[in-house]
Amino acid sequence: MRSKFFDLITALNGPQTVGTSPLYWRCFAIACGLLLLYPIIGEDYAVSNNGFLLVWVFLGLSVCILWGYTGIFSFGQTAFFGLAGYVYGVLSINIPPEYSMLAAVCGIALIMLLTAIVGYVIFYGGISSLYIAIFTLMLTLLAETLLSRTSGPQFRIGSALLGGSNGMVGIPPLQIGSGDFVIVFVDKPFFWLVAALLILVFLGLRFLLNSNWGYLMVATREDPLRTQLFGYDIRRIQLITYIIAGGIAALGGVLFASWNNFIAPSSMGMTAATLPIIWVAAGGRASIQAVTISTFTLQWINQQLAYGGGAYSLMFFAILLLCTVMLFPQGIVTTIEMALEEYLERRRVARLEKSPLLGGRL
Amino acid sequence: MFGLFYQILATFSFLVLSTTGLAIIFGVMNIINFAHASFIMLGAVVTVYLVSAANLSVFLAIPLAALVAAAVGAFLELTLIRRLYNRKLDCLLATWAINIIIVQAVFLWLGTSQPGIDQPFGSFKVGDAAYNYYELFLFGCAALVLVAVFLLFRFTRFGLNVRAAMQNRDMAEGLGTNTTAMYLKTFALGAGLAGLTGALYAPLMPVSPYFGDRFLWRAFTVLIVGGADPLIGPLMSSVALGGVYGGLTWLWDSVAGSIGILLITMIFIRVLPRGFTGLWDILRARK
Amino acid sequence: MSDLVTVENLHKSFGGLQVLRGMSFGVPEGEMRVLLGPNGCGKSTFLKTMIGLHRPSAGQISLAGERIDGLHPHEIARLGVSTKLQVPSVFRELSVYQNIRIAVQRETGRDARSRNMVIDETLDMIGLLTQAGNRAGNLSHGHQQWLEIGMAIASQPRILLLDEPTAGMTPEETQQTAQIVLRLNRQKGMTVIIVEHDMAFVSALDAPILVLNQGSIFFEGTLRQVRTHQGVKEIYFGSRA
Repeated sequence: MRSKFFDLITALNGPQTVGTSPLYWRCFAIACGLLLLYPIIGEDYAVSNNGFLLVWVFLGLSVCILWGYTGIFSFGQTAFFGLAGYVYGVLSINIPPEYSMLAAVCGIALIMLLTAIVGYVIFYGGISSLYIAIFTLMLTLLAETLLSRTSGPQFRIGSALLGGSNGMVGIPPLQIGSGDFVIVFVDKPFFWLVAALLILVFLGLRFLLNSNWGYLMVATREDPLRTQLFGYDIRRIQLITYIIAGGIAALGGVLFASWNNFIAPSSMGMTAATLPIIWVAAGGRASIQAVTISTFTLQWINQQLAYGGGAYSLMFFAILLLCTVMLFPQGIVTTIEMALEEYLERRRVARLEKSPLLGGRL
Repeated sequence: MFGLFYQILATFSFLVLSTTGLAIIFGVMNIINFAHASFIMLGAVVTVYLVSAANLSVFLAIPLAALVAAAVGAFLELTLIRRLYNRKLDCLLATWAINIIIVQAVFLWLGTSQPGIDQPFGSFKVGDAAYNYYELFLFGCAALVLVAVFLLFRFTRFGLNVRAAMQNRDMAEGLGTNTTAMYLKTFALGAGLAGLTGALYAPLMPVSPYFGDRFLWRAFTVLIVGGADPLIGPLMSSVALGGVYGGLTWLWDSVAGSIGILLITMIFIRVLPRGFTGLWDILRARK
Repeated sequence: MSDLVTVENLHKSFGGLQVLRGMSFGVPEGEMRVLLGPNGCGKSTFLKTMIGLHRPSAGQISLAGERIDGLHPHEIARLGVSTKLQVPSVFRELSVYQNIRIAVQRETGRDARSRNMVIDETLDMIGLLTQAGNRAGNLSHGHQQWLEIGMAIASQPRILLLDEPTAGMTPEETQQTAQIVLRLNRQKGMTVIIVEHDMAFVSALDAPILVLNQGSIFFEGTLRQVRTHQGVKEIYFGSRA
């Protein structure tokens, strides 16, 4: 039993992710514990809001594993996020609320199918890196434009009105069970759902990134040609990673629609597509941990600025992006992490030098 | 029938003017300049203020506004852009950030809507529909810009140096070209052309800080479909996309036109990534 | 006895420029061949065509009797063709150890123990065992070339292609590289095709030489024969008018 646990921790550690020591994992466990205990002590409104902020982390992670780890710069993740919300909305409005989980799963699956098709066109069609950015941007604009044209009562699927640029309203929240034994995921239950899912996805990504597949993602980013010459079909590597990222974004989209009870084309607009880029760039592209922290923090800041009078928030983020690109190309959180590691390493070496065993001064 | 012809002409002018500045920067420096939208907007805003507040003739305001945009472009190149030459993606992000900063700054300083100015010429009728002489003037301007760019690149020393550097920067430097100064001038030129576009369209559309957005993504489609050549690219793809957009708008509406352009661009990215320039190169090699 | 590698009447043009004009030769299994030739003779183009980066305009390349021209690079690699390209292209951000891991993990799959064994063996063969944890980008140029050779051989390929492996190396490193390649060929029986310029390296290898000129094989022979052949001198130095 103990060795199985040890094997599990080994599988979660590796060069692709930060933090491998037992100390780190103890801190991680404590952080998870605090996260799951928080709703018990927090008050309803704050817990609900923070749960909503956590939803964005899924979108950030989606962009991170593509851009930071695999070298694919895709603007399309926002589109998959939004479209997943729409699909969940359509399905959950039309079927009884007991089956909302089924609607969620179908929504995610459908979006992953869409991701597979788009990914196939991109990677098996030989579209090269910079053009992937523009292609996916146009795709997102296309989705937003088409959905904005759907105002009017004739645009409905079942009893779900698409609502044009005003969006689809009346999306029911996720729930499990029915009648007397029902959990409706709002407020505190919602927070627990999102937190639990986030921890699972995070650990899952840690496992993936440190496995053989993770090495292939990084190799594809570093030198696609060289990777091919080792016998790896990089189109397949890129496509499958793209589908996984699409699934994570879709999960976020479903949670978003569930909490908001509403989804609109603006969640796929130019501004909406910019923000995840900023979260990942500012946090640190090649670190899921940095991106988790930066996404939550920046979205929290975004909210605070919106209360103050929204005009300054966009300016703030643009300046942040510019500073990050010019001054912290590795990302702000990653730079801090690296500085911290360097500091700890220097202290460790200093302590070793003082050790009498190694011939240091007493 | 004249309506369709007019629509295509108008779209062609719009696309050529929107794109040429962007295409020059992309063709010479291999940079995708997202701040293009803000240069266009600055051109429009400066024009409307010069005309309405300073009472200048619109024909004087337009070139002045273009110069202002060129100056802003030169400043940005000196301070920021030149540090990012070898980092294409970072440059895209930086210019995107700059775009938002400039737009938001104008928004915060001047508010949403800006004073409007009138079109200088009148209108005429063909059959039942009314058309503007100003659109024909814009067509003239678009043609003039293309001719000017052609002359600049073909017959001036600047143009020759630029074409050499486009093909092989290190070699050009080894032969004495000051590529740093050249890139500065190129970027300023691209910004100036963008400002000119904004200034020219200010009398036709309501001016706001978001003025440049409708030009930007369309300019991108023309750029992609056109390819890297700053002349062939905008020319051929403006004709092609102008036809598609004009036709679809005339048949249905402008949203259909937009969707048409997006789809064609996506198809080009997949099938002909080097755009019309690539096609042109292939045809020339065959001869 | 049929050859492991057969190149038949290979042609390759880029637009109007014809680079390979009817190149033909064969390499029996377990042997080494050196491809020499003046600049512009098509050596690099041949290599790139062989590994699938270019499609031949005409002719074919076969591995153990099966055609490989026109296949994707990764498909050709899976058939046991390993390459070291001219420009060092290691994964700079990863460690030496991780670089080799990527080369072998397809073969060893989840089996960490055998994977680590292969990695250690390879590191030993190229002399980089002590540098296993270092970032690949920090290695000296010569060491990076060795790392690349290590990555190329780690998966026990049937045939190894080397494109100017000693470019930029010091004379000592060049000799050491020659020893590594000889060991691979003589102890492991690996078939090797080398494109080279450096005569010191070529003479240390002591293998049959194919002289390439203007896209086709001009002469085949030993180093001494090549050195004394009048035609070869002419194509390198130009003939007197």
